[in-house]
Amino acid sequence: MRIHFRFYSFHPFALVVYYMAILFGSMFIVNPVVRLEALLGGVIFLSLIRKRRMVSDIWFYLILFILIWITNPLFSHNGETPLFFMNGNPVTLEAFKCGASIAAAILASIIWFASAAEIIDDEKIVYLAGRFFPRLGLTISMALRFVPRLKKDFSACENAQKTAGLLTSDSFFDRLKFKLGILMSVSAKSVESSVIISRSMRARGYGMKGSTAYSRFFLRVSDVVLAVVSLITFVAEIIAVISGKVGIEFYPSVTELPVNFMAVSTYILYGITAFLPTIIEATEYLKWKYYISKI
Amino acid sequence: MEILHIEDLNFKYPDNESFALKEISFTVNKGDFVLVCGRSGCGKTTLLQLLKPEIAPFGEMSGKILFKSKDLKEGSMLRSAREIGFVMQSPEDQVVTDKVWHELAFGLENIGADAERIRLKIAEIAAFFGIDSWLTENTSQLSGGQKQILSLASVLAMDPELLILDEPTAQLDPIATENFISLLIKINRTLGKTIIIAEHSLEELFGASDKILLLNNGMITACGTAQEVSQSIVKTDFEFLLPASARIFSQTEGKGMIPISVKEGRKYLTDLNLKQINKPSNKDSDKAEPVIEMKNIMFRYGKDLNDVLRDLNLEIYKNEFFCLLGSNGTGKTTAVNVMAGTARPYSGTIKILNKPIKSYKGNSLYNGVLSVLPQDPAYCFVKTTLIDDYYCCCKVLGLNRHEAVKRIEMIMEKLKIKEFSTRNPLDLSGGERQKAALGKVLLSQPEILILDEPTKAIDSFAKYELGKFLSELVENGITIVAVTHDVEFAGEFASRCGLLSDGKIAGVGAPQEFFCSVDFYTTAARRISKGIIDGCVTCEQVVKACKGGEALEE
Repeated sequence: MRIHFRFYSFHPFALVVYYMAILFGSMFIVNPVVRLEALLGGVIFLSLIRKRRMVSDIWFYLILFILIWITNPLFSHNGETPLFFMNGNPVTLEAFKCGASIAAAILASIIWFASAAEIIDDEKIVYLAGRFFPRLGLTISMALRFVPRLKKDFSACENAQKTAGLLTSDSFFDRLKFKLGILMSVSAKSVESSVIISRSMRARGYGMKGSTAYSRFFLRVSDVVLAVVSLITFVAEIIAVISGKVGIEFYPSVTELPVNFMAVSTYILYGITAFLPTIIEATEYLKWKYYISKI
Repeated sequence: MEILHIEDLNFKYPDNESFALKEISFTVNKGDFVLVCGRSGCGKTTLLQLLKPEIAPFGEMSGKILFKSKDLKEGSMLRSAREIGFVMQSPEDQVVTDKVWHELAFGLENIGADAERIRLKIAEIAAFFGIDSWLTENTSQLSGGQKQILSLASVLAMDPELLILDEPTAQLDPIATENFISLLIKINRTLGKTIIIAEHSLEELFGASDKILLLNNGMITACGTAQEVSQSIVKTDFEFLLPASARIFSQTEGKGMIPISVKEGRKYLTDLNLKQINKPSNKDSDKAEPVIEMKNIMFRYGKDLNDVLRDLNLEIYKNEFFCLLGSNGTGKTTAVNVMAGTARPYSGTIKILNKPIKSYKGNSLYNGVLSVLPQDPAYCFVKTTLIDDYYCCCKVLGLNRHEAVKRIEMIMEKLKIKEFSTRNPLDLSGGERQKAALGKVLLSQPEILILDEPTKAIDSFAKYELGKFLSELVENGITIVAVTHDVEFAGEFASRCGLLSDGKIAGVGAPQEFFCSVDFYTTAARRISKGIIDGCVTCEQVVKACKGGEALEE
């Protein structure tokens, strides 16, 4: 399903730079404008990917947001505007605002990670790992092949043992013992099969010097554009964090929203980056609609 | 032109007194299709592995193996990796990576091909095998047959001159086997690749090979064309290896050229000029009481998935040997799981011995009522020696030491597996391991025994033994349900057969009426005799009918 997304078909390198820029900004720039952009951009793009699945998830995200938001003022009593007192401790307006900021940062990161998990799939991870450490790439690829197999083996073995009468009761310890027995049996079998796997690898010349790594990814102009835009944003974020001219302070009182040159350019750059996937999908959608109406 | 020359090859495994291979000499010409056959443990695998230096077993070797007139051991690794391809038996274990395209690229990456070449090679191979649509799939989603085709494709991508295959179809169903073998023949005919293959299922391959090598106890017993080998082994212990046509020919005392394919067999039978007589009678067995009743079973693996079983209705009667047939993916194994209570249908009722399956609590169903032999017998074992495993099982079944010893003794005696009792079940060969697993599931003395693909991965000799043993069990009052795609096995041993298709039973009947009512999905003997002698399903029946016919003509 997600294969039909334009954003999915970007080169793994471009995508990694992009997600680095997005996540760094949402986590380290303490500024309501940037956090709002991160949150909105993330939610809209994730709902584009997940469609109906997002509707049920939105409640989870909302509850999480509220929980983090109200937890902060309960424990942090800094700030100069007390709203009311609880157990003799002040609950302040500043702490509420700070809580909202932290909640937005955590939620935005979770949401962007969720979309990254959909966009950067196994194949891209294997490619990225293999690019720098070829052995690691192959190991991950083999692990990805191994896990579904182990699952299948486990359930086949469980059925076999159950029908041999080995699961005698419903008690917790009996079940645990039963499962452990199966795990033993399945691992013994995997050791045996690993001998054959290594034979299959050697038979196809594995372990010789001068091996190459093949991938199906091409670097296109659009990949370079995405990477460059992300990189510029990333650099701007780092400068913004180091200079300290973009962030705001919550305690003792909330400082004013900075509107200097550096701050405004950060808002604009981060805004473009955060909404970029949505914009790309929207253009793609319009393009198709246009094509279809022409057909 | 000779590609492979083997002279006086002897091989001995370390810690082993006897030779695994003795005085093997033969040559293979470029473009030959060579079939190596023989019983399990005759040295087929050892011989083939010695031809591939990277995976050659350790041991004492003497004699010469010349590949393109150079000693195999002296060649570089690159040369061997590139020029000799090797495909193994297990579809599960030889696929290394997670994506289909990566699997195809794996060998090429190892020999250092550049990206351009790999891209072209993958495209070419995918087109040749017609697997373009799988390229982006995960290898774990492929079926066994597809995995074997992928293994073959990934070896062929390296463009080897010699292709060695060690029982590549042993774990495939007959349709997948046929596909695989016709692919091999296509590779041999259209690309001129030299192929050496060791196989169990010989029906197809026998006629297609240029040269056949029959091994016994590590020695060459017969070597030559299909016709020569057939001539030299008819009327010997190895006759069971021959295709059905040749066996019928031999047992009806035919003279001259031996028919090998179904086509030649039909010609031979027609030329006998038999009158249509001696139709084997269809005895309607008295319907006994049902031991398993399945009514309107509906099953699927997930809410959004398709039904695997749809309105399945099936009754199994007491004391019968029922074979449930069907090709892969028709829900055979699911049907077994539902019958055995390990998968629960979302609709429908199952009764075991007139009691709903749900009313069996704890392991009461599996203690003396029903046992299942899984597809892979290795799953049965949890302990490191067979005898420990049996004792463990007896303990769980609630037997005391004395009873356990007695029962184990009896079962080991019956199956002749006493000699394996102190060995690790995982070290046994395919046929031995299956016997050991069969022993284990019989420990609970079940009334119903369910077997999932019992003939997978065992050779025709072991298959015959298994069939005999199961028939004995039926005579002793056990009801057997075997799920299989082996029509020959079902034709020979079943007392009733059913065909599962599209999640329901498409037809059911005694083997004779069942196999005679279908035209394609049937035994070789039936395909040979159809329209000439009707009502025959096994070679024996054809032979009997022929002899009966002659007797009447006199």
